[in-house]
Amino acid sequence: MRSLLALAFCLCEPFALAADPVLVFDLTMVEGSGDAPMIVAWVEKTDGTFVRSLHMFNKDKKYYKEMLTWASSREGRETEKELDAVVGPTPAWGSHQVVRVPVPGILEEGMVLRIEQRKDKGGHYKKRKLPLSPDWPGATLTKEGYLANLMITVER
Amino acid sequence: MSSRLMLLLGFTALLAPGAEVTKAKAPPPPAPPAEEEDQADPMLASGSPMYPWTDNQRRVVHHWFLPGATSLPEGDWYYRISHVARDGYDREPRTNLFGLDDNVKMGLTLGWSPIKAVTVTVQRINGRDLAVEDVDGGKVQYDTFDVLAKFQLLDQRGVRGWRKGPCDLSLIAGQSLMFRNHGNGDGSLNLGVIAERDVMEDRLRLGVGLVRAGLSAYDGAIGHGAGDKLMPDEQDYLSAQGAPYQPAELATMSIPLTARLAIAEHWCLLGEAIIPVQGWKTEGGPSLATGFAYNTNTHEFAFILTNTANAAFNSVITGGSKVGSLPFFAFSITAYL
Repeated sequence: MRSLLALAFCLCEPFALAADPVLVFDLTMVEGSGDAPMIVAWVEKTDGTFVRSLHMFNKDKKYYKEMLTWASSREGRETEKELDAVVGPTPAWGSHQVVRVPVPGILEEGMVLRIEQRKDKGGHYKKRKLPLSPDWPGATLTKEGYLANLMITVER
Repeated sequence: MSSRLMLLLGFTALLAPGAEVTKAKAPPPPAPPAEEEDQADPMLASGSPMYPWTDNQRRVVHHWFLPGATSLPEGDWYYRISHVARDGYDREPRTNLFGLDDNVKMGLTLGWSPIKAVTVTVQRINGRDLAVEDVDGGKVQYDTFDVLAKFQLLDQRGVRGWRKGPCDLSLIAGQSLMFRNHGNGDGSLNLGVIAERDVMEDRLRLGVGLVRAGLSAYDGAIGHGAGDKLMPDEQDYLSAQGAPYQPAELATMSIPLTARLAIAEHWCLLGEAIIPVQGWKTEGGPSLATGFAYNTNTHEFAFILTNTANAAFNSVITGGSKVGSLPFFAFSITAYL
């Protein structure tokens, strides 16, 4: 009986520890002045079809429409409830923040990670695209827009 | 024995490649450059260090009395309401709320930047009673419209001005148009040059300039009196009445000095002085204003004590009403759109 239990444990162990991959956004903001910028990360297909928002670094909904690329991409493809689930606080100037986002079914060929940053009366950075894959190693962005450093790692 | 062997196998499975022992990982590789150019933040691109109060210090298009050296960003709008009591706050505070209840001078300003480094403002200041014979049973008054254009030659950070320089430097030209309710009016050609520089990690913004009004005015506070500067249509009338005073000069040239000290991201102390150096002056010392302001990144609320209850360009440069005294309470609300 005990030997059977031990064998069962050995066989089940790999399945019990399998979990959804998680993207970890480790970001540090530049020093700045005035209103802090809005930052949003989302995934779309290579043909531009919106898949889902990963994280919105701002809770003030009335300004979401200012993130032009993301807002037009997600229109009609994501519910407010789905968005509310991935909203977090605005990182302050010079601050450091770590956000973990489960991404089941996202690390596939044909998927692209997009990042958009915008500040009132400031810059608008919307062109960053990171192609994803099942073995995507993550990426490091340094001094890009309002990000002094953004390290995106994958926990599998 | 077999059960111990199975248990040992079970523990070994825990160490299999499917469940890795956590160990330090190398950071992910750097991402390739973005495919296209983004709309960069000009302040970020300038490489200038920024502090929490930098934006609020650099946003000052107009101080209490006179324009500042910075221009609006291209395409932006700006409005300001200024309100100064013409009765001192030390007179009957129980009945006139520190002079704010009545007899006030109000300025309504609208500004716009049509192109980079240029700002156009129009300010309307309410009326002054002229010392002339009444017309149709009513007093003759004029409202003043300050129409000014500012061209920012230099920008300390190379962002808003025409060129980068050691300071912000602007040229100002325009007119103070004094429209009478009976009759036409007069106009003053106004010119100026203003320079400002941020020092001490942008905490302190200091300014100096030279301004001139071709037809200066002065509307005395605490009642219209002999200290007022007589306008051309008053002089003949008062001469006919036997009044002894006539101003010898029409124009005034002055040196404005400004200081803004940021004491926190959103709070600053303000100081402004305009020293008349040539032409007509009140003999009451320089025009003075001091106070504090609260900035919300889009609005500024300022509270001021001043010694002149004037607001138009050509009437704030002529000096104060009384040496060594700041008897008038004032405030302004500014919005940057």
